[in-house]
Parts: sequence; structure tokens; C-alpha cells
Amino acid sequence: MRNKKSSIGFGVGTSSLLMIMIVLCMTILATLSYLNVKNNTELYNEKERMIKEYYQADENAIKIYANIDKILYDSYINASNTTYFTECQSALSANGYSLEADVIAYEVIINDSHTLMVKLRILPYGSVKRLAIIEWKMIVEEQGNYDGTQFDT
Amino acid sequence: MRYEKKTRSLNFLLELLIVIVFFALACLICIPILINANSENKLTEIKNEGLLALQSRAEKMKVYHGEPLNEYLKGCVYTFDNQCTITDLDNDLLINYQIIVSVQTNTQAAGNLYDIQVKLLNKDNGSTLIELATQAYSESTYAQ
Repeated sequence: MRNKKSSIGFGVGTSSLLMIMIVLCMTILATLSYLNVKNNTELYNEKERMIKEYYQADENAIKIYANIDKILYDSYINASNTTYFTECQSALSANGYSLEADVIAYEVIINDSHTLMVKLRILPYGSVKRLAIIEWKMIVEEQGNYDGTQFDT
Repeated sequence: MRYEKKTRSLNFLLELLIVIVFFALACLICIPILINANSENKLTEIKNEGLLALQSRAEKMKVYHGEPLNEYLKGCVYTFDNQCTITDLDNDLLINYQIIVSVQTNTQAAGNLYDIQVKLLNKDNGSTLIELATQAYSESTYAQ
């Protein structure tokens, strides 16, 4: 009776099982961290690319705006109150800008699925400014498919 | 009986050694991955915050009309005539970074076209982390 001892101990195989558990947890943790960082980096790169493309398009749109403004400025010098608008119309169409009534519209492509749409109004002769911005907005032409391969919106 | 006990101890010791070797190998693979992930994550966070800070300055610069940069942008200190530096970015993540805003003016008859560059730089090594370029246009009034 005295020799009968309960043998609860650290037997052969316990350490292996413990190691398998710990290594498994560690591998899962490392894989999850790696995937998380990979996703975050991809998301950031996509965001940076989109912002840079937008700023590039915006830059081009401002250059076009400055060019139109220059045309209107030259037209103003050569025209009078009555001939100003027709002078502007002919000068703008000669430079390849389309005009609808007193509104000039142009588009600058940001990327395959986004476009920057600009609409400007020609202000009357004698105004302090020559142009008023009616619209300066980004148009999404194609929605992303949300499966992670083309998340473009 | 004694021989059996000795063999069991030897087996246990051998197993323990193998376990330690495997564990060390696993640590050798997993710990660098975790450290890399952590530093990459921090860099992405910094870039995210930096991009927001740059965008905020770039948007402000879009309506720039030729004012002195140090008066126009908050916390801006002149380094050159057409360039200013913002060192205090009000963000703990960006404590080692600074923003440099440079403006190039193209004077035209109808107005001024400003080429603007906004950069996020590391204070220590001067390397550029992010760069944004934009333009602003300020039309002149008619010559009388």
C-alpha cells in the first residue's frame, strides 16, 4: 500500500506534443502577421498610386485651364464688349476646345477607370476674372469587382 | 529494472534534445518574420500618416496665389526663397520626418502658374519617403 505511488509526471512524448503546439501557434502567428503586413502594404501602394495619378491629372487640368485663360486674355485685348464672346468662341475652337453656349468642358484621364471632368464658364466682358469653375470632379467609369483583384473605387 | 529506468531517462533526454533543436529552428524562422512584419507595418503606418499630411498641404497649395510660404502654411520655415520646411508635424509617428514644400513660379501674361512639389523627408538621412507634385494657377486681372 505504501509502495503504490501515483505517477503523474513529465513522461516521454509530452515535450514533443508541447513543442508541436507551440511551433504551430508560432507559425500561425508569423503567417498571419506576414499576410496582414502584405495586405496593408498593397493597400497603401494602391492608395498612393491612385493619389499620384489624381494629382498628375489635376496638374494637366490646371495647365489646360491656364491655357484657356490665356486664350481668353488675348481675346479680351483684341475685342470690344460686343465682339468679346464671338472672339473667344473662334479662338477657343481654333485651339481645339469645344464650347457649348458659354461653357467649356474637357476631360483628363486619371487612369483606366477614372476621369477628371472639368466644366468652365466664360464670364462676361469686364469681369474681374475670365473663367468660373462650374465642375471639377472625378468620375468613376467602371466599378471595381470587389474580389480583391480590381478594387479600384 | 534499473536498466529499464536508465533507458527511459536516455529516451527522455534524447527527445528533449530533439524538441529543443526543433524549437530553436522554428524560432530562427518565425522570429525574423515577426520582426520584419512589425517594422514593415510601422513603415506602412508612417507612410499612411505621411501621405495624409502631404495631401493636406498639397490641397492647401492648390489655391496658392503667390503669398510668402511661411505666412501661407502653418509651421513653415524658409530654407530658400522658393522652398520651405515644416518640421513640427503634430504626429508622434512622424517625429523623425519633415515636409519640404517647393514652389516654382512661371509668370505668364494672363496669370501665374505655380509648380508645387511637396515631399516627406527623413530628418536623419534626408531620404525622400513620399513625393507629390501639383500645380496652382492664379489669374491676373486685365491690363488697363
